[in-house]
Amino acid sequence: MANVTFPFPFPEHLSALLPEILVAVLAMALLIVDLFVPKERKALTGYLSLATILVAGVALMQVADGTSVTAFYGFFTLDPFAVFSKLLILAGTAIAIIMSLDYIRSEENVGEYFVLMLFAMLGMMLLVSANNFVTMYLGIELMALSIYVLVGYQRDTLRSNEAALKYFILGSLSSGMLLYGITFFYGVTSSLDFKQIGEALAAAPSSEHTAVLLGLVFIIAGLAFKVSMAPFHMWTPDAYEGAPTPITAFMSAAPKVAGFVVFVRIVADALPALEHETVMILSGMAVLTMAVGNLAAIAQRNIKRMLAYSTIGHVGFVTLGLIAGSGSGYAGMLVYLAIYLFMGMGAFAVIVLMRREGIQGELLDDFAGLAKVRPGYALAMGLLLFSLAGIPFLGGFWAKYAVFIAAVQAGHVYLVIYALLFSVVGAFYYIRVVKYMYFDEARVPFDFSENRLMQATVALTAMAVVVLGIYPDPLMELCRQAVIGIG
Amino acid sequence: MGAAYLANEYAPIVIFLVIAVLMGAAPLVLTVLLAEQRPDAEKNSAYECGFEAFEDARLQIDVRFYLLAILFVVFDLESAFLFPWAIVLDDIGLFGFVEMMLFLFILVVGYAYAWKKGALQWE
Repeated sequence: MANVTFPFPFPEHLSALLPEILVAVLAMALLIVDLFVPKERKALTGYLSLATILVAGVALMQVADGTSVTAFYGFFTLDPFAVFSKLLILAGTAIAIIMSLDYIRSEENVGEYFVLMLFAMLGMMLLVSANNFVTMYLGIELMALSIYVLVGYQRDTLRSNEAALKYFILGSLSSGMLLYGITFFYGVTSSLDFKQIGEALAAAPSSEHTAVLLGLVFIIAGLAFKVSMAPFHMWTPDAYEGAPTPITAFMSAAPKVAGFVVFVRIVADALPALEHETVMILSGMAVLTMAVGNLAAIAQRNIKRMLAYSTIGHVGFVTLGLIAGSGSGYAGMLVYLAIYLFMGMGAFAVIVLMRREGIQGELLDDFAGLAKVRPGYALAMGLLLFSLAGIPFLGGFWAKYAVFIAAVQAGHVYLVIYALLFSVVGAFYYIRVVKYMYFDEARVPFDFSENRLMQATVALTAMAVVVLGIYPDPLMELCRQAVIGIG
Repeated sequence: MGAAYLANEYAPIVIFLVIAVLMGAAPLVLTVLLAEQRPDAEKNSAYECGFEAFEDARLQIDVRFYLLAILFVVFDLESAFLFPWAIVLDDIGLFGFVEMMLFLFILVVGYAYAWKKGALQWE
């Protein structure tokens, strides 16, 4: 910690926080404005929150100049890594809000819903800019508390309540573990700053790392919960199934980006001295995560649950990038997270579009015969699912390619062979849905939401997957640029 | 660092935990061991100023109290922040003042929202 002088000077480089400040102020203003919006015009709040995201994006591009800036007494960092992941988070939140416009029209307290999404987004933006444990914890809690409420948003649905309660209780437990782990690091190094912790640990002989090792285990457990890495994934299927589908899509993409980014910062800045132990723990968890995600997904009949396990499987693949470390590993993670954001959210958007008697098409059977009724939706869903399975040459293939190559370069050949095996297992349950859509007769009548913005979103995500599959180089180059200076 | 650090820094906490458990358990154990025990039906029954107990202590509490309690906690914490802030205000200067005003402003937004939503209305 820097020397503290009184009275405090005003914080330096405050402009680096401009996007966050704008989101905070506009979200609060929106909360008040929404009180005066008549009930039948609540979609206005949704459009205003989209405008807020746009404003934040423009502000972000204004303050981002390709350099690394530390602001607020060294508690906040804005580097290309943070800027890129913030753009992903903004995009993910915007897609989730578009999905919600129709979905929650009939519900109460619509204004709260959108504002809570903005607050969750603000938490994630803080999280990816965290360069010490205090900012990290602040970001995690702001994100998690908002999402707990959003999961339980359908107050009259038992399933939604159950999901929110489970998520909340397990989430609080994991936050406790995280804090407990942080105390060990602070106790040993008297610092909360990632880089300073890294320096203090590097200076100490490795025989004296016992206490830190204990802290390391707790911190990894706490973070693994947030990104649903096995064996801390138990909440994921229940929370995903019970949450409103747009929130499920939101949870499967944006918080994973934020969680992995802060994971990278901790591993790269604070833990180089403990690299051997970190890699060992993470490898074990990656092996377990890939197996749990891909095997359990096969047994699911509910597509939201299936995609929940599929998310867990993908988290296992992303972890390979974290294990590989160094520039190419972290760049591979960013590529993976960026492509997953589009294909995962696109698949959820198709689910939101399929509605039957007011209930969302959630069972695999509901997709039977979709290709005959709505060939466009079936084609988009098919492309997204093939991409999730990692079929060349779609976006998902390059995502896997980027992390696998990095892991091979770092010498984890067996881990990559294992991951390849489970990608093949994963392909089975994705392609099964395609089979239902194209080769089975419709068993239930369809009913579709005809929201133009939604249809455009589905079309755009499917197109993104195809374009990135044919021409992935710009994205890969962008990610390589973003991680320069990390690790 | 390391094992020595664990022993030095955390030993008082372990000792504290042991003493706390002992202090809690001692009265319970000692009464069983030392006191003369001659229970009968009357002695074992619950009493309420001599009357028979006429209802269960576990009542359903109106959910509206819960809302008030949550709002109370927020402002309780606010005052917990305000006291130390007021004492060191000279040292932290204008920046400290502005920070607290921002904090209060955010609280006021939440309060205004709750008020307009009717969270403070009993009926």
